[in-house]
Amino acid sequence: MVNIRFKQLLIIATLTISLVVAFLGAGESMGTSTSFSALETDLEGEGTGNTAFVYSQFTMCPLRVDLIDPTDTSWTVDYDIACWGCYAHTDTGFAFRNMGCVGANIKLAVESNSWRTSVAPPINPGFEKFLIWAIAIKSWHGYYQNDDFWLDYDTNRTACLIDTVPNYQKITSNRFYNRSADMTPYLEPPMDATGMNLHPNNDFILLLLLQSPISIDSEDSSETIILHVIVEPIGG
Amino acid sequence: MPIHVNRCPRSRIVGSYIGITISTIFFCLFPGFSGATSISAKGNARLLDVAIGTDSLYPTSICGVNTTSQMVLFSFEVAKNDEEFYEPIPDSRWLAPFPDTASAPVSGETRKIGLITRFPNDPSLINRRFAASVIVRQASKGMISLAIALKVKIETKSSIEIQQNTHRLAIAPIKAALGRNIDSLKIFNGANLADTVQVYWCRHLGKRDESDGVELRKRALLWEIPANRVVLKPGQMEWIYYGKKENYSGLHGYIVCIGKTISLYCRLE
Repeated sequence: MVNIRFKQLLIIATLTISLVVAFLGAGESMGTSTSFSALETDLEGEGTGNTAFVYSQFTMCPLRVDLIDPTDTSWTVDYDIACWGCYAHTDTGFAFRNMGCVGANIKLAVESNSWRTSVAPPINPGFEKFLIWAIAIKSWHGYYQNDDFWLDYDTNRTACLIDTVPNYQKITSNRFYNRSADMTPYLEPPMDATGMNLHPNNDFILLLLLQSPISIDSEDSSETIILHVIVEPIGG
Repeated sequence: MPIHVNRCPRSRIVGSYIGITISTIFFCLFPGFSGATSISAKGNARLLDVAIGTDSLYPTSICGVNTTSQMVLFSFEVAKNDEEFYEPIPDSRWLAPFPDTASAPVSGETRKIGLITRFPNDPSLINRRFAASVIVRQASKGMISLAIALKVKIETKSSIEIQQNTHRLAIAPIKAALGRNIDSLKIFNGANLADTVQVYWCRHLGKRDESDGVELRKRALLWEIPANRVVLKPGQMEWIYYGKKENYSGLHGYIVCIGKTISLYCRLE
């Protein structure tokens, strides 16, 4: 009888400790970058000859973003389009997920360092500008069409123009999304005036169309044109 | 000229939807799976009292985090950034990561990198705040490059002197002691246009509250009046007098100056 009670106590104690550990662990992994306390240090900068201090080594849990679809990220060149030098990538879109524990904003940029063109070399290789037309949505609803990209371009409704190479530019809502024009909740991007707010464990999908300054060989495009998707912590 | 793109077949969109759904389920079942493109990093840096005209090395908490099942090499580079109260760093070469590459073991982190400041010997850089990012990435294939931008905030040396050849709104000093005695700071309009500057004290930067632990005043003829708005002509300077109220014992806070085109603050210690 005593043995049974002891075992019961042991099980209860083990479960209690597990719950406490799980609770503490969960609490540690929550929050935003602004909610982390600053740890002040008195480390001096080396070689200054002056008093130079570094404070605030934030103990921040990691940011993490994953590209969850598609696995093949090579460029798709649409030969049928009327746009000279355009590269359409809205066929599938790119689905990302914030796997970290800090809310994030998204910046986009396109970079091309090694041009090989079929028409004429650019004047300043590597510095010609791309235009990214981007649409960010919460989830697929099965009704969005490529045509809407340019229909919205005409009315400045949902397509966000990012003038880049490689200017890391934040996607912001005021030039990107019109709540009164897009009534369907599925199109509502997860963002506010500070940019796209991608909260932990949330997904977002980018529909992109990149307009190149010149015509580019499709064989070169997968290696020479890089789309940078950069995650930046909110606040902090 | 309008630009047109062919209509995407509905079947491709449905296919994509199914693909994302399957990927999501797979991720839920196998969280350790590292086949997807992924990047993880953490940390930030706040460099205070950065000297000009000399190189300095500062430690940071910035590191790359390996979420894959094999050792990963991370690269670090500096880019300009914009933040409220901070100017984008004029030249990203003034800030160099050290080292600029570092490896991380399986389920581990890279060493925490340092930042070398290389500000030129330009007196106009005193009393300034700059923002930058350390962009952390790892080698990736294909057109997508995932990266994490970790914030770096820089505060150069503080001085009570204002450079008269500055061409913008400026304050001096940008950090000051706060005590019971009345002290002062200067606001200078170096721009070509007149500016109306809102001035207030707050405990937390960016959160204007109604608390009044520190009193701000300015001179008007023979009197001192509360300072909450200062109109400055081009080239004009104004003194702001501040002091802690008798009963106040909370955070020292900040004196914030919001101009038409630029926002500045003096950090009280």
